[in-house]
Amino acid sequence: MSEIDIESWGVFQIFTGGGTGTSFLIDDRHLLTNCHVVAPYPKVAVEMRDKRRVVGDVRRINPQRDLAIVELEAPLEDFEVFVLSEEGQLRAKQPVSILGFPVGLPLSLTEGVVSHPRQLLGDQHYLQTDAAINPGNSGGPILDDGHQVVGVTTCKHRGADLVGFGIPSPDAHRFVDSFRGQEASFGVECPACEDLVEEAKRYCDSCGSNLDELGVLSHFEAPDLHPVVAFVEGALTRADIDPVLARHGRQNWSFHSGSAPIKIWCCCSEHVCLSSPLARPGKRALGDLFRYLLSPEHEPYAFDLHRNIISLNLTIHMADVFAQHDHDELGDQMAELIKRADALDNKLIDEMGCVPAPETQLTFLKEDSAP
Amino acid sequence: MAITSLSCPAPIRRLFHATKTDYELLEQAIAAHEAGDARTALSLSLRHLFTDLELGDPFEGPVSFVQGSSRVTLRVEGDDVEVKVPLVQLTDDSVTTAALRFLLSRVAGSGQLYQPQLEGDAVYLVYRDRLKRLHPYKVKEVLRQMPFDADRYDDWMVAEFKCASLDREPLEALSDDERTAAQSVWEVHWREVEELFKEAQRRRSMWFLNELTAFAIYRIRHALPITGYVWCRIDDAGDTFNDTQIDPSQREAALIKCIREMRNLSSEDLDGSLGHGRYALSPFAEGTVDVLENHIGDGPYLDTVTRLHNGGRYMEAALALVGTYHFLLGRFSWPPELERRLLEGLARVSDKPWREASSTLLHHRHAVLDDGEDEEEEAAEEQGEDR
Repeated sequence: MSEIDIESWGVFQIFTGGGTGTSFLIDDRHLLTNCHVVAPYPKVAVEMRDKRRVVGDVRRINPQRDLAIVELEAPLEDFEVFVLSEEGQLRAKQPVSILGFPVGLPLSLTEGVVSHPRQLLGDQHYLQTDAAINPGNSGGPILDDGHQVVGVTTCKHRGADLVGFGIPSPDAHRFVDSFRGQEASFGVECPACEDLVEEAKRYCDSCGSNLDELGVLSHFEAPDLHPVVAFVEGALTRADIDPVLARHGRQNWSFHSGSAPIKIWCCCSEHVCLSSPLARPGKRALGDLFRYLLSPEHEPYAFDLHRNIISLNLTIHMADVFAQHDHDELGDQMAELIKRADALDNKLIDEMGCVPAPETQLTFLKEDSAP
Repeated sequence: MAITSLSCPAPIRRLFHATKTDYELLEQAIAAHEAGDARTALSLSLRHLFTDLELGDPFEGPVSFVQGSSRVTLRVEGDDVEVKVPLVQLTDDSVTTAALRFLLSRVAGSGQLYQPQLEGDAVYLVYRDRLKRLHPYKVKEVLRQMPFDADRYDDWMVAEFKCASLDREPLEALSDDERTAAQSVWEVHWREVEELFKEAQRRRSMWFLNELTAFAIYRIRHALPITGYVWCRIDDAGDTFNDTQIDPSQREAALIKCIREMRNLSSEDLDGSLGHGRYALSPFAEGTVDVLENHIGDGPYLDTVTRLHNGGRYMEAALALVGTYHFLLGRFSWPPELERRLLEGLARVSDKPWREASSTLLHHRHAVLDDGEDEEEEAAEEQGEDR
């Protein structure tokens, strides 16, 4: 694997309102991942290498086997598509590599061996490996020496080190093959018989299982939004930001407004914070810069300087989120920060001697728009 | 010579007695806010916060109160509310760029409702909001935390960046006797902490280090009316040496640096950082039976202390108990009877050998817990009568 440029491999990070995970291309428009990475969201964000995000539609899930297929709007042609190994015969000590986005880091590869090819846990078999698996790796490919997918990373043993598990490729193969003939825009595989359930119904047409009891019906319902989520995503919509693309885990959002990064999170039980890291101070005329940043003219926004990065902030008290009667005005304030941040990083850099902060896309966008 | 006991002098700081907080007023304030009656909500919120102080009617004109060296003004104009605390004035002599950087990096921040602002060369902490959005929880948060920050940072900025004081509330100077006693407490404290630090290095025990670092902060906080620059230096160093998540060698380095700095402090500098402040709101948290139970009630912590005592490790046990008493008195305000009981415990073990000190406090804590329960029962009975 050492000579391989992993950046060219079709492995992408998925973002939802529940967390992040990994997915990989099984053809130029479809990604395979875990069900627990995408559920209960019908749409997810898929991040490209340049940090741009695109919306992916969840087409098929199997909650029992923890698999899901996400469809992209447009094909991705510059990335290598993975082949699912048809061989079911793995052996212990066989080397494997895991690709993914552990703990939110950029694409990373870890290596190990097969600890057990078919470990029985509960009522299912798993590929067990000692390769490091961390939160964020879920849904990523487990590869053999020939770069074929021998498993889909799914979980690790909480109480032990180096005990990770993947869904064996024959199971993934069957899931993908079944999807190839799927016409419905969305379907859930029945946990009992694995036939596709295409709409909310109480009993499985094929095996008669009670789908409500098996938790299938909930996958056909829109997820309940927490009041904080409804408030923030309502404000994002007002600012013409697609909430699906902004989600970054539980009650956490991140996106770019032009060149400026915007982060929204709940810092404690009392506050919703919006912050945009804009620039680093330069070396001259700092007194004037700091006076400008501390001026009351920016209210209701305020600047701070944390780790030498100037950020524009807005703090909203939870009482306002739950009171609801001022949501329009507060939503406008949030939308204004999003708009203002895009202009302010330019002002700080062009007029006040600042330099771009690491997360801004100023350099990238300027290069992009150059003739 | 190895340290054989701890001194527990009577506090020079005037203690803040806990006053009974009326949470029903807060409930009523929230109900009024939710019903859209913002004026009643604000009035009730202020009555809930200022149990012993008649602030005045904020709708008649600005109202002010004092928290140590900070003077807080609340102003209502139509639907606009402003809470403002003067911090410092920048002058030609100020280290202006460093002062402004300090404001942006340490005083400003995401996740807080108030922020520092510059009006000409005057620096204020400011919170502005609509009256209709002024939920009682916001009133509590802003009026409690903002003056606390101002009280903490104003002297620091004057000393560190040569800023001038701005509308600062003067503190009452200590009497000559108090000053002499404070000097003695200071010297004994840092000498004993240094001796205990040597023990911590010899024992290489994380538990001992944790107890020592808490003791280093809370005996001073309990015993002396210390404010301003010197307190900021201790507090800042304490952010490292008293943080159990930080590497022990870093903590030890920060502690010994602090000890040396404080032992070298001139008596004039110490005097300049001592003063009795007036506080409209107790700067200490409300002491409750739960707090007592958590710290000196039966449980894993006291099991460890008892085990150390029974195993002949009297110094560790005594340091833990003396430190915990100081922590309770230096972080919380108590009803007078409970406070008297805690002080009594410390007085009994002052300058007593380790074994006697730990044995005494292991028994004494039961008296404190009993008093706590009595207080709670009395309070419950009073509340019952009120209704």
